[in-house]
Amino acid sequence: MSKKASGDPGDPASGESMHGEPSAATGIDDQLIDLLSLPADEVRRRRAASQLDPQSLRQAEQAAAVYSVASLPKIEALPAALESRLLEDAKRFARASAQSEAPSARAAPGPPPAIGRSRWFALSGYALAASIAVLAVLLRPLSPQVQPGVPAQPLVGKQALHVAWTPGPDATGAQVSGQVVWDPQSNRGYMVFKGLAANDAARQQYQLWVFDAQRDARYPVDGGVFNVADGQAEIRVPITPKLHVGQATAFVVTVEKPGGVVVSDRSRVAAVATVG
Amino acid sequence: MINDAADAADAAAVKPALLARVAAGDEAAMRECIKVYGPLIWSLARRSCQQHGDAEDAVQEIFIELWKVSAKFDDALGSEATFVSMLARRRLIDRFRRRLPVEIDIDDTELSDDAAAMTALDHDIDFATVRRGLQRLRPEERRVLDLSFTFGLSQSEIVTQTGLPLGTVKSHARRGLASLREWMGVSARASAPAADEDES
Repeated sequence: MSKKASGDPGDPASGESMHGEPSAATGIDDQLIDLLSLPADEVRRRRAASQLDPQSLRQAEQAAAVYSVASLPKIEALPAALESRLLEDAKRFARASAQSEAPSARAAPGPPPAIGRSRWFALSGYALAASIAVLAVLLRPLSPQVQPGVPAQPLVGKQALHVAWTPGPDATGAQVSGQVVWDPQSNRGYMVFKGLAANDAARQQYQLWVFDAQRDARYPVDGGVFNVADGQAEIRVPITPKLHVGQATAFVVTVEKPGGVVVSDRSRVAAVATVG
Repeated sequence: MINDAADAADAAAVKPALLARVAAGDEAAMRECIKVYGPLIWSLARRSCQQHGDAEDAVQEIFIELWKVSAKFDDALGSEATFVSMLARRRLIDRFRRRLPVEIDIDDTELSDDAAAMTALDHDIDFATVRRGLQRLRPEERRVLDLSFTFGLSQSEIVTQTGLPLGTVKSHARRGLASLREWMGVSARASAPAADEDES
């Protein structure tokens, strides 16, 4: 950085960068800097509507990424448990890619598109097909299958929350009662349901969502899917969320397709338990 | 920490077509990708995410995204490491912005001297030059760049966080961007004088 620039950091009226660029350039840089801090979908929208040179934006993105890396205080090794999960992800992704590749190869014999040489912003049909298949496979484990009737994990003492279920608007939960028992320390718990309608697991399943005060309310933690068999007057379902719940604020059971969903449209809410 | 910089360098000196092999569905390439870029992505995530669990989620999300878009990588436009870093930064900003507003604690932004592993990540970018340049910035300037480039705060949000005048925030961000371009340009022309030596 130049001494001149450092000595005069707060002069918005100057219209010049440290390199003496004209104000038009600083205007472009202001636009680029704005884009650097926006969510990706907003960047795409604004980029399409702006006169910005794609190369300028790419260079700015590169500069910001280089800054983020260069300013890291240190490079840390991956935690072993996380690495194991990533390796499992890789296995599933590769399997899904292979599954998606076979039909497309039959439909269009010949070499696949030249991957690795395509432009960044031109996703090939091959990659798109792979993405869809991969999503289908990868997202499944996000909804761990919990087994009704399995004894709940022992909870740790008095800190466990006890929250009563109230019926949601969906007919399946019209008669529901029972409670959620949730231990914030161990991040485990269980649900007791009475009167929750039996489901046909081939057509739909119940899915638990845990709302966390430390997360965006649009993205509650997936608590897994479960079933209610015919004739079960009362069931007990353990809660083992895949993600850590910092501060549970509500537990919501929705009716979803078999295997559950990643993001629920919340069109069928069977039961709600609100903390506090 | 990666203690053995030589190992890191070996790991980083990957086959040039690593992401192309990932795009072809090569599981071994995906595993290699985790080995090579895992520490980098994890470190970026740890910096951006306040919760350890959130950082782990972010890393998984970034790798899945990386494998999905690996076919988009074009080595004519930059190195794999830069591509990975750009993607990771974007995803982390997306996640971070979903949690706004939060108070950001970036007191630990002092640059360490342990640049060996970082340097080894990318042969296109001279991180030593970039870090030398960053070390010359005042804490206030670094803070603006952190909030803008790493955490994705808008300039008005940075004003709220720092109490700095908007003009100052804009000025710091502009200068930072210009300097980074300059430092990166120097790294692409290895024989040229280092830009950070130019104290005009």
